[in-house]
Amino acid sequence: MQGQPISNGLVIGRLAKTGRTSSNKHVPLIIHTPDSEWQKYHDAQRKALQLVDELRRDAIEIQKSKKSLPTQARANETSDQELPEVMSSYTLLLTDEILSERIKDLVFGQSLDITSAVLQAFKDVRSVVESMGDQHIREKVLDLDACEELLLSSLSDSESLQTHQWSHLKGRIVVIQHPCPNDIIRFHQVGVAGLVSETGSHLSHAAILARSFNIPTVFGAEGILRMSSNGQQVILDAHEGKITINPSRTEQRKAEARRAVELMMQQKLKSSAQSVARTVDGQRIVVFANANGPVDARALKSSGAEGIGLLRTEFLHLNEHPAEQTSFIGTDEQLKVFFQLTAESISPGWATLRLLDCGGDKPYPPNNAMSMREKQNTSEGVFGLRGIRFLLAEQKLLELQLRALLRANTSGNIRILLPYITDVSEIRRVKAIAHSLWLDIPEDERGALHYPRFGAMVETPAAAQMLDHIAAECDFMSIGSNDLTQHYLCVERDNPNTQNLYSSFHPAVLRCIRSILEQQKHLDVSISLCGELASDPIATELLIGLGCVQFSCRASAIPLIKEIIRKTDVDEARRFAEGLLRLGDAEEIQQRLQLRYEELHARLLTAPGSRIRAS
Amino acid sequence: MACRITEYMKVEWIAPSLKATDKPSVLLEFATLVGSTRTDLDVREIYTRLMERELKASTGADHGVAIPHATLHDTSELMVAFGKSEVGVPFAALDNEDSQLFFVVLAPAKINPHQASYLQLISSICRLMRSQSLRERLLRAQTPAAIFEILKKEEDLKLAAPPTSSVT
Repeated sequence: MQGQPISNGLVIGRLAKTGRTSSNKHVPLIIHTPDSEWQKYHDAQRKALQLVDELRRDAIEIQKSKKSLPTQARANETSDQELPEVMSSYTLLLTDEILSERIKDLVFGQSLDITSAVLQAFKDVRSVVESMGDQHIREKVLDLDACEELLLSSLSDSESLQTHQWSHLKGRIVVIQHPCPNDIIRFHQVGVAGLVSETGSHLSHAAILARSFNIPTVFGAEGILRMSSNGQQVILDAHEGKITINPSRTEQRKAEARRAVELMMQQKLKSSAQSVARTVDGQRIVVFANANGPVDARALKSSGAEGIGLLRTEFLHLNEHPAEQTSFIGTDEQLKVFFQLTAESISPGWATLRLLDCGGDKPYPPNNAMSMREKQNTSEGVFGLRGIRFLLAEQKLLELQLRALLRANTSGNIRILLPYITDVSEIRRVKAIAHSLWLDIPEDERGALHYPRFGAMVETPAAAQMLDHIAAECDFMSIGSNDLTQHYLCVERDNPNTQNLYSSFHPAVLRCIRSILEQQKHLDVSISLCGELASDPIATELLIGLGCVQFSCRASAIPLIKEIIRKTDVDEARRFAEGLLRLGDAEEIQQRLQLRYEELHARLLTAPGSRIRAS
Repeated sequence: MACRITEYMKVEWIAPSLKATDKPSVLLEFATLVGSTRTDLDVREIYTRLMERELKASTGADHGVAIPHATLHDTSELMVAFGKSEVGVPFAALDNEDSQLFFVVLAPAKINPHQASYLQLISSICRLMRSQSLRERLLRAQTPAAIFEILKKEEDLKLAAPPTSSVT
């Protein structure tokens, strides 16, 4: 049986079905008054909010126990901050006025009992949300479901959310109808071995949670509840999205062998992650980490990162929950402290901080002219006032960031990366502004500071063509493969009509990357590659063949990428890449890379002492 | 010759609550448990040897007991580790029940005449584990020390009794 892979891993175990059953059955009360019903709603709402709060606290606890770093408290509230975020979106929903007004109407106006009113109100809201059609918004329906369930279970005093009732799921491959984020947290707490759901999507909160807890997960396995029963043996292959119920002895043995290989691989990668990566013929390849939020330097270093190749600073300025103004870091003093902590923690490695990159298909920060215009629906499209263009238009914000970065560079390892460069004059202007800000810093403070280095993102066709001029103004450059793909292929990532055309393996994109990397030698600047392509293990050898010597990838991908580098021969990779670039078709290139990777994957395991093979 | 398995066990090689839920990860958990206490042993080597043996044929026996075993080149010592799983692990056992009690036997590839052979050891474990009451007591035990005590007492009792038959 086939579903959508959500989170990696292969597990062999016993199946346990669970799910929401009680909340959908209810008998309307005959005797009730609107007042008593409304009171019940208030009690249920309070209970539900309490529960959300508990879950949120649990989530934070889990994070803390995951990374118990005593110092730099702020820098550590990190990577899976999605968790508390999910919970705060519940809080917002549960206290939503439109929702409670609608329930009030139904209770007082139509004399409905409270359970019916809640069901009706959620149904109304859901149909409005669903009619919006946007994929991201539709994910919110899942939050609605979760909140509805919370309210209903609080109303019926059901104990379905008590942990003790979940304990029988420990070590099991759990099968559910529908993934609710709060259920996923419970699953993690009791320690389920794997998770299969009939519905759910890759972008949902539930999927994010399953990934951040490393629970092997497959969604969209339609019909599995009907086809399976409790206690059956299952092989869950979350790499491929494949579920085998009641496997034969042979299937089981094969799965065990593959699982053994997987475990051995993890073990091996963990032990070699921190040493530097050289190719077979001795070429040193540097591997940096990308980060989207506050950085846990110890975790980055232990995954083998040699510095930060790209820290996106958007999270400091974008506030997804306008109700909570607190998450907005406003003053340059706060920014400075954050940048300084980050840079010092990762020293002596580079801390490459990218200036705010918003606009185009990325949202603007609140409270400025552009976000006002955005609200009035004058959409900018992909090629809008984006990245550096926006910063030069909103110079106050640019100055705020630059001043903080200049003052933060006590350890001398800060590099400032400019987003969405299309013209060399943009770099010159930013550098001029930075220099005048530098001179404004009191001399005694300046004495303890290092002037930072400047670099440009190469993510537009213009930048790729004007590389020599841009290089003359820069200390380093970074290829943004995601935007380069988008702009080279004239394909919007988020447009469902063109999504299937988006592929970084398109020969046009690869040829462009090759031409950029080829110029590296003459231009005397270092060029790294960030973006999804750098974290994709099937692309590593190809990229080395194209001349890439600096990768910046997702921290979790680093151990594997480093190991692939160690198995790669630069000359061979070059020949391999040349052959691929002669092909005209993205899909064919990707298939060949996949095949090549599978071969390599087998070779990665041929170390002394390992005789187990995945068959 | 009857031999005492507790002679080859160490309290630190007892895992009262295994985290792993499938066969390969159970074996890795044991390999790590034993390998990390000794400098002369390589976790991956132990793991590979155990897994290799397991892929030939499962070592899952009856009554929720499994006895994964392997020989190692790096050691001259016979070693026995024990662990139990609260939820049970599908181990392809003879009776198709999930395994809960695990004895892991690691033996030197070169036979040491002063030690019991690992086949003797395995048969001792099998005989010992026929007792339902012992299995139940082991399942209830919470700490490594308690588990070790239970096994030791059981062996004392068995060996004090007149020998029934001799195993060669």
